[in-house]
Amino acid sequence: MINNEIKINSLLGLLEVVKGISDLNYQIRVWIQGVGPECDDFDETVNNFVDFEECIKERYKEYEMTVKQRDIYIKFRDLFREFADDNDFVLDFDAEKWQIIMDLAKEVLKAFDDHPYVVEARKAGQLPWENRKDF
Amino acid sequence: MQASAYKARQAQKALKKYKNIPLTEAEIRTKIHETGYKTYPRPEGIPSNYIVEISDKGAGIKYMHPKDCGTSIRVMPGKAHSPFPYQRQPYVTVKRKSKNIDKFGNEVHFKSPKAHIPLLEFSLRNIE
Repeated sequence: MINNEIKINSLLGLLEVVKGISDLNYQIRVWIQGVGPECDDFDETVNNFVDFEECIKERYKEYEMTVKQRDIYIKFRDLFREFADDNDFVLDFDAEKWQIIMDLAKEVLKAFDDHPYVVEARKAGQLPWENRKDF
Repeated sequence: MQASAYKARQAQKALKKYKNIPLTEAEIRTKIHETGYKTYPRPEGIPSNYIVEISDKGAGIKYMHPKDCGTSIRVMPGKAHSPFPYQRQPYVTVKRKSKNIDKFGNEVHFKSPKAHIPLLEFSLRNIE
């Protein structure tokens, strides 16, 4: 069992990583052009995804995920991790596959829009990707 | 720049086969050195029971709390091709309760420059 604070932090953190993966403008602005204020790139995205995932893996019920949320999340995770192993985003990458991953990331965000942690954070005005952080 | 990016890609290819294989810290360092990357001394104060892994990207070393999945420390080499000055030098990221912290132990957003602590300024004593 892990405590609620860690569950909320890790799921919202992971979804914010997914938000970056869904957003081509963000990737061009931050990952490629290096225009802040965010300090982020593809490698950090992968590493942060894995860090947040560390708590979530196989604990879908504890994280109050519905079957639909769990299934889309697993589908996304497996495809993204496979892509991350073989692509670096600097020299070259499989653009066709990346488009599929970006589309799937949007589906993940849509599926999790009514997750209790997301709903609560939004109500409190603390949903990270809807409230720009002062970096 | 191009050479740095190429080196990173070659390292990634070489290291990915060790991802799910349990290795000692010494073995991990050897594997990373074989890719041409340096490793840095284990930050003082990391308990000996922490799990050690190669970072998923970037030829770094990750130290994970054996029971608390929200706590980890990642030591990353610099990469000359990064658009961010914070990532051109070796840096450390620390997660506690699945939140990043800065060099003083304050919670910061994981995309904040402050979440990328220059290795030379990092001390576990300052954040505990």
